[in-house]
Amino acid sequence: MRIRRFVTAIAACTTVAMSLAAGGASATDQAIVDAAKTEGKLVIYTGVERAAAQALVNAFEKKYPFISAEAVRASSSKIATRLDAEIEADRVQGDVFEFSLLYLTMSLRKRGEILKYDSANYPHYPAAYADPGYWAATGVSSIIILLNTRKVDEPNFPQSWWDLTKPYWKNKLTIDNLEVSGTGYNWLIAIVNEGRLGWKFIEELGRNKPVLERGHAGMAQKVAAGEYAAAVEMADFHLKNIRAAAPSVPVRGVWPREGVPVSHGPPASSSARRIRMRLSFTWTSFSRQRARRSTSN
Amino acid sequence: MGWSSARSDVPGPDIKEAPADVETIKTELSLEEALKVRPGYVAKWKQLWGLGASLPK
Repeated sequence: MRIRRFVTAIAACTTVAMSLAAGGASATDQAIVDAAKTEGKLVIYTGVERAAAQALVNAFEKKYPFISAEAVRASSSKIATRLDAEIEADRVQGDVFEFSLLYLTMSLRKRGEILKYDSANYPHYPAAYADPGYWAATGVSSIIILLNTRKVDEPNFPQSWWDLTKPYWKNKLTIDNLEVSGTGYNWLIAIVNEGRLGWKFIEELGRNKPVLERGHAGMAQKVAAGEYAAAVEMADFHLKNIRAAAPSVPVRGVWPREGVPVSHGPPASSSARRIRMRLSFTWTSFSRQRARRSTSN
Repeated sequence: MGWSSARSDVPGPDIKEAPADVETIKTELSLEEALKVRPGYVAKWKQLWGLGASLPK
């Protein structure tokens, strides 16, 4: 019984979440809003940094003061694991989820775990970035190298991914834990399957002992602070975020000549049948080139 | 170039040093294949880098 009531509440919540993510307003079914009042709470599972998650919560509660919102932050893989466990136990606690594992979102969709919700915002999304009724991408980004320009001499600015395997970079690099990071795994799977890079590149990069960190937002801040000379893989919106907070920060992004990874990734499996979530927001790491191609198709 | 909004009606912010035309690294793996290979890929990465079980979560 609780599931049905909860789903009713979520319809309003996700409509708003969609509007907030896109920065615009959308028509909201008043009946859904009225039903949501009886629930009174929205739980969002998200992999975005704390400030972004809080901004979403604050904006939601401002628009819908009769529903309290809570953002549960974790790495993409942790969210995926939690989702699977909750689905398996038929005790899903979240209402909306967002992470960078597009393949997992699509797997959940295939398994019928995402409830359909027809947001009025779907027409604004190119076909490649939404499955109307089920999920929509919140952004498109390249996975790039992030440098601290005070820690790296200009002649050593990398031009190729392979440049990071040179002895110059030993003990200067950081990387997210590829075991739990959605962006990190998206980077790994693209690099490994690129003929000019492959496992050989990964092996040689490892000789420079990149320090494993936890989360890209924190990693970007540590690069900006000079704790590391460079982050091996970084979604480019973090560069924009750092500059927005401190315009003079000595960081720059590098788009290596071999190209930047395009997101795709895999999840875990579950035999659960139903999830209370109406809509997922998925950070994907497509390049602009891909975005243009998809848009023009 | 750089980060781009997924919505056609909302522009993404510019990143000044981003190239005008980005080369992409494509994978031939389907989403289903990407799902299947994940445990093996992560295990191989950890093995190549000599990483143990206790990684930062």
